[in-house]
Parts: sequence; C-alpha cells; structure tokens
Amino acid sequence: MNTAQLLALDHIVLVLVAALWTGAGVSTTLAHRDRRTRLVALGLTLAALAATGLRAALVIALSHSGWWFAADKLLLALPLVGIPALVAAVAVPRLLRPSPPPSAAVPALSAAYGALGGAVAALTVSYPVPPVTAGILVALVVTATAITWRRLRAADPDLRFGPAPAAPPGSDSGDGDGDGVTGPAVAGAAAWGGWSTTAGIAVLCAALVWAGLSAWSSRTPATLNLGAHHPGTARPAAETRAVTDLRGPAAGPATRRFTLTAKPTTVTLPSGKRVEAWGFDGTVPGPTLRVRQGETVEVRLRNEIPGVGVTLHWHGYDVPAGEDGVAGVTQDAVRQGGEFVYRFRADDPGSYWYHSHDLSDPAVRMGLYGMFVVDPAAPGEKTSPAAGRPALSAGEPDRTASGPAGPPAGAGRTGTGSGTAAPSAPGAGEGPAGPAGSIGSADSADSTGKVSDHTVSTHVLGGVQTVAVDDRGPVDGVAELRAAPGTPVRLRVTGTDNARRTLGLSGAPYRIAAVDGRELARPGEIRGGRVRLAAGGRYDLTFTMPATPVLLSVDDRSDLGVLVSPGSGTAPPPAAGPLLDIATYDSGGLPELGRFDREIAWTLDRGLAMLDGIPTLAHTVNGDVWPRIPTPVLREGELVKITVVNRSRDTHPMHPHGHHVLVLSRNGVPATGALWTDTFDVGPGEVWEVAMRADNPGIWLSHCHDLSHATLGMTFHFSYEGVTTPYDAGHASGNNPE
Amino acid sequence: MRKVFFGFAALLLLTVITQFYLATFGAFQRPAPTTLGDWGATTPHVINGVMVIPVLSLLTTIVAAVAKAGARLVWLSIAPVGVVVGQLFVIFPLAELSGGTPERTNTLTHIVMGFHAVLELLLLLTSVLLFRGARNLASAATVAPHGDTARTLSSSF
Repeated sequence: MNTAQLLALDHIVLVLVAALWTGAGVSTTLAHRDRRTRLVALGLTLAALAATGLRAALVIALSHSGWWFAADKLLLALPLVGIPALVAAVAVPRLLRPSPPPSAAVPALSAAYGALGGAVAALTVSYPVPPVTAGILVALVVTATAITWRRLRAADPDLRFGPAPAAPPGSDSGDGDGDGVTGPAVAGAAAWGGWSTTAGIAVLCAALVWAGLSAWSSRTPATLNLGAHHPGTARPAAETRAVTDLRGPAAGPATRRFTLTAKPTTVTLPSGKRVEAWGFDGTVPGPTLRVRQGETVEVRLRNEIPGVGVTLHWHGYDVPAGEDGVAGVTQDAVRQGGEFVYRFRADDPGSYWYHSHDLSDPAVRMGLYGMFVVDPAAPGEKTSPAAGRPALSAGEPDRTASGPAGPPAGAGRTGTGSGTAAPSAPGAGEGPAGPAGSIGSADSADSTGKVSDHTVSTHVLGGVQTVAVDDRGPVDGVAELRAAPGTPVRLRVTGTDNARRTLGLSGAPYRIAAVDGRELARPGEIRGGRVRLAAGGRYDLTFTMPATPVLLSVDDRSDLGVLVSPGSGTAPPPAAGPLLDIATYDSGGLPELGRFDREIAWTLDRGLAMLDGIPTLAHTVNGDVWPRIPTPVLREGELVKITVVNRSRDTHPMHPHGHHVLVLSRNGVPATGALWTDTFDVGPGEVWEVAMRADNPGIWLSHCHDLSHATLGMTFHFSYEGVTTPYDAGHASGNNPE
Repeated sequence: MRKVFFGFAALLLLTVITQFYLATFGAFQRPAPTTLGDWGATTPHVINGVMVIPVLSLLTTIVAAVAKAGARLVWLSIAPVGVVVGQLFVIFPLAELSGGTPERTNTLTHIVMGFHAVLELLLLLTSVLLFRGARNLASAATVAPHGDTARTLSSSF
C-alpha cells in the first residue's frame, strides 16, 4: 500500500473511530436499562477499540513514509482518542455486569470527543503541528469530558427534565448508580446547569470573538511588500538591491524585438464552438516567440483589455528578477493602455512558455499565454522552426499586432481586436490547407536531416480541451502535421492547464529528449509507454518519422492530439503502455553537487485556513497560506536542498520562479539522471527532494502551477539577502501576484 | 429562543433540499469540465456541501444547546456535519482507493460514488426529523407555561 492509499484509508478509519466511540458512549450511558443495550454497548466498545488499534497501526505505517505524514496524528489525534480508549478498555468489565452506572460511559464518551477532535485536527492541523491549535483541541476535549463526567455523576433522572417531557429519556439520563446523592444534589445540579449555560455562552462568545479577530487579522493588507522584512533573516545584508536594478541587458545589435498586445478575442474552434477569450495579438495561444541562442529578446507588452491587469512571466526561462513579470513583486500589472518592456539574453536553448502573472488563474484560463522557444546557436543541429508565423521565426526587427498577416493556417480564429476574420477550419483531424504547405515544404527538406520541429500546447478553452500546433490555433480534435519518412521530428509539448496531462506516442518509438527546456543526457527509447506532463511543464518528444502515421495522444484519447503523417495511412490507436517515472527515466547519472548550505521543507496540505479573511478549505504550505507562508532568505551562491512533501489528496505541480532545480529523489528513490526541472508534479503522498543553486538574486514567487490551488493559498516566495522591491502586492495596489 | 432554533432548523432543511437541486443542476453540464479542480456547474453544489451546510449545522447545534432543545435535537442538529465528514472522509477516499484516478474512473469508483447519494438521503432524513422536532418545540413553547420566557429570550436574541 502506498502513502496516498494509507492517507485515504486513515481518513476512513478516522470517521469509523469517531462513529464507533460515539455509539459506544451513548449506548453505555443507557446500558443500565436492559441486557440488550448493555451487550450493544459492549460490542460497540470492543469494535471502537479495534478501530482505534487499526488507526494506530495505520499511523505507524504512515510514519515509515516520513514523519511529515504522521506527526500530527502521533502527537495529537491519536493521544486524544487513545488515552481515553485505554481507560475504556480497562473499564470493559463493568459492561459485563448488569446495570452499569451511566458514569461508566465517561471514558467512551471522552474517546468520542477525542476522535471528533481528531477529525477536526485532520481539517485544521498540518505539519509542523501548531501548538496553539493543538492546545485548543486538547482543552476542548478535556472540558467536554469534565462536563460529561459531572453531569453523569450528579444527574438525577426524576427531576432533571421535569417540565419538558419532550426531552428524550436517554439524552442525559440519570444515574441511579447509587452514589447516594439526593436532595442537595438536585439543587447542586440546577446550580450547575445555570453555571454551565453561562460558561457555555461565554466560551461561545470567546470563540466567536477569536474567529472574528483571526479572520480580520488574516486579511491581505492594503500594502504588502514582499521584499520588506523577513522574520528569521539571520544576517543583515551588506548591500541592498532593488529588483528594478536586476534587469536584463540593454538592447544591442543582436536584439530580437516583439510586441505582444493583450486584447479580448473570440476563438472559433473547428467544431464550430465559439469561445470568448483573452489573447495576445488576438490569438490563443499567443504568437510563438522563437529566438536563437545568444540573441537578446525584447518584448514590448501592451494591454487593451479593460479592467484586467496583464504581465508577461517567462515560465521556465530563468530571466533576471526584474524581468520575471510578477505583478506586485517585479513590476506593476500593466493596465489598459499601458505597456512594459522586457529584455533578457536568450542563452539557454529549450522549450518555454510565457503567460500573464496577475490573477494568473483566470488570465491563463482565458488564453493569455504563448510558446517561447530558444533554438540552439550551435550549427550541429539544423532546425526548421516551423512556426506558422514567419515574422516571429525569421528574425524581423519588429512585429506588432497590426504587422504581418493574421493566423496563416488559422484553425478558425477571429481576432476581434484587428477585426480580421480568419478562414474557418475544415474540421477536426484534417490538415491545415494552404500555408501548411510551408510545413510540408520544410518537411521535404527534412530528408536531408533537418528536424521537423514544432510546438504543441494543450489547453481547455470554454470547457473544451484543445491542442494547438505552432501558430495554427487551437483544434478541439486531432491536429495534423506532415513529415517525410526518415525525418527527425521534435514535438515541444506544453501543458498550459491546471491539470497534468497524460501523453502517449504510438506508431513509432520515441524519446523524451528534454524536460522543461533542459536536454536529458541519456534518454531511453520508449515503445508504447506513456508519460505524465505536469501542469506548466514541457516535454520535448523526439522520434524518427516512419512510413506510417504517428499519433501523439493527449489523455489517452484517440480524438485529441497530433497526428504526424507521411501523407497517407491511418492513425494508430493511442498508446496504452505503462506510465513511466520521469525521475528514473534518464540513465545519464546524477551529478555530484557537494555539501548543501541549507535545507528547506515545503509540506503541502489541504485544510481549513483563513484566506484573506474568509475561512476556506485552502491549499497550504507548512500549514499556512498566502501571504503568511514563511519566506526562506537565501544568500547568493548557496546550494539549497528542498524537500517537498505532499500530505494532501491533490497533485501539486510546484513551480519555483527564476531557477531550475535538480531532482535528487522521488519517494526516496534516487533520480537516475540529471533531471533539471522548473515544474515538478508532486502527487498525493509523494516526497521529492530537489537541489537548487541560488544563482539568480531576486525575490521569486514559488507556487503550485495548478493555478486554482495557487489562488487558494498555495503561493509563497523566497528571497535573496538584501533584495528589495518598490512594488506592492497589497489590496490597494491593484496587483495580484497569485 | 426556540423559535430561533426552529428558524435555523428550517433554514438547514432548505439548504439540504437546495443541495439536491444543485447536484443535478451541475451533473448534466456538457461538455463536462475537463480541468481537474474545475467543478464547472457543480461548483455551487460543492460550496453548499462543504461550507454552507456544515457551518449552518454547527450554528443550529449551538442554538439548540442554548435553547435547551434536548439531546435528541442537539444530535440531529450536528448530524449534517457528520454526514459531510462521511462524504469527505469516507466516500471520496474510498473512491480513491478503488483504483480510479482523478482523470479516469472505473466501475468500482462508480459503485462507491453511488453511495454519495445514499448518504445524502441520510442528510435529508436528519434535517426533516430536526425540522419536525424544532417545530413541535416551538409550538410547545407558545403554549407551555414558560413560553413567555422563551419569547422574551428569542426577541432579545
């Protein structure tokens, strides 16, 4: 049984334990009535004891997966139910004799309170265990036990509910346990009743005040400077730098200039479905930016969307901090009519993408993203960047929204911004007509060894999953590519949704040549196997074109993906082979890194938390949510080991900005190759150890790239010593980095 | 206070009935939402089930205790929380253990998820019983000798 299954089973047993102890407690209270009730109480108590034992065994099994998974249970939940359960176990013989007094139910009821406290803990306590919350839970259980004990000891069945015959006889039934309490006890019980009501109302008021205060104090402040102060910064920085000083180089002769304009648009899918969207230059995905290694990239962002802030974040490309495009951290969001110029050197060849990072969940969902490719400068690998927009791949000095012709092979999109209507596509699964010839002609040259090189992105638009190849627009079906037999093909696949995607390639053996823009050293050949692509991650899939069609299937569907065809033949069925583990795929060997300067742990969980003043079933890191997650402050040059633990039942694709991390191990199994990633998929119950070199000073956001999780709290940041920001992420700023 | 309790019980019943409405409000959305975590038209059902019903149930329980409604009605008031916990901590984990994944379900997953509706019936039953109990209590309060006290309490609330 793996950790995720143990966690799921533990939740079930948790409820079982609470239900059985509640039943045992109530039936023991009534056990003096008749023999049958007494036997029921006995049976329920024994069952509750067995279930408690099972939970203990599960927790011990979980502790073998790691202390993070078991700490809250071993330190809090289990003692809460276990200690009274032990007392109840000792008291079991009382249930063997007739007429056990109601007070005999105190241990079982106490165990029930403890078990319910454990359920509350499962919703509110993560790792590390917060002492205040734990203390409150213990106090509540102890108080409830004390009240129960007093009432069951002192209760008198004849007088307590005198005026209210509607009260069920068993509710707080009298004792008759022969403790000799008579007249004075009645007065005492009445006084106790009044006192307990007062105390209950006082506790209730205190709880309401406390809840209100914590909600109030958890609101995101009007001003929030992520570079301001970081509690726990041990060393004062010798000098301070602002992110505005950490910018890219000045424009030089080898500068490639692009202009991207965000504007509302309507996308028409081949099926005929029309989707209201936001797009760069009116297209979804936005124009593919392809540059050559060594060039300086200059991108001018303009925004024409009313009421929506836009930025450009270079996902996976480790730009200088000031170019990172996070609203409220490295810049202010670009408002309607505004602009921002990004400039950085493209030194690292590979597959990347760009997207808006102000309220990024709705922004990316609505289409504010595009592909970014850096082709290697080395002439060894000739590429034919087959982006459908020659303007972006042929090195034109500038390109604007009104520049070159619209979508050349548009699978039917309508740029409302420019008012031009592209021809609608013939239908899903059919190859693009006309300009697709440019790809075909490139392929005819492929017999000479040129790589047929394409970007592929998959995205849900208006509830429909689509695939977009190069700049041809999204297709809610199978997009088609041509390649002559013998041609080396590279498909740069990007998952732009909040969910991971299962990719399979059938019809030819293939390799994952690169992950997140970094080439693998010795990628093995995959035949029929499938691989999971993290949300926001990129895989470069390579194969040599056979004489028959090859199908890249998305989520095992035969009707969604890319069909690479030599011109004839039928599509093969989607790959259905085993899912491979990306951490042990490359056999190039794990490089030696040396000693770590510091270690950081991110424990991911789901639980009740105050998110911007509202109690939310949030996604938490180390038990807290944005913006209260503690910030590690790094010193430049440090080698950092990051342990990411997922205690939740959701998958979290973790994305630290500005850095690639080297995967050291997954679930304790060491990685077999140098897997450098910027978005790694931490599944339920998984533990990833990664190494990061602090070589890019700045203030860096780090978050789950299931952007809905990022919105629900799973956004944090890490910082370098002495780096400040003049930008603000608070409510009053209009920036929403998460 | 007993009238306030009755009001809470009525509101809880209404919320539970709404929950049934919202279940099929979203169930037949086509195309089905394909993004994990995107509940599409089922979102109101999820929010009502995870947040509104438990919070209302807890408040009703507190009001029941303050109104001295008796142990049975207090238990019935807290029962919706128990049902929600059962859904979150038993049904969905069981579905995960069935071998299905968030992307792809199997027959066992469907068998488990069928009980999601059965537990919901339990929720309806408890809230109907609670409503009837609270109504009886409220009408009893108006005729009982200490009814005036109850009225005073409820008006001062």
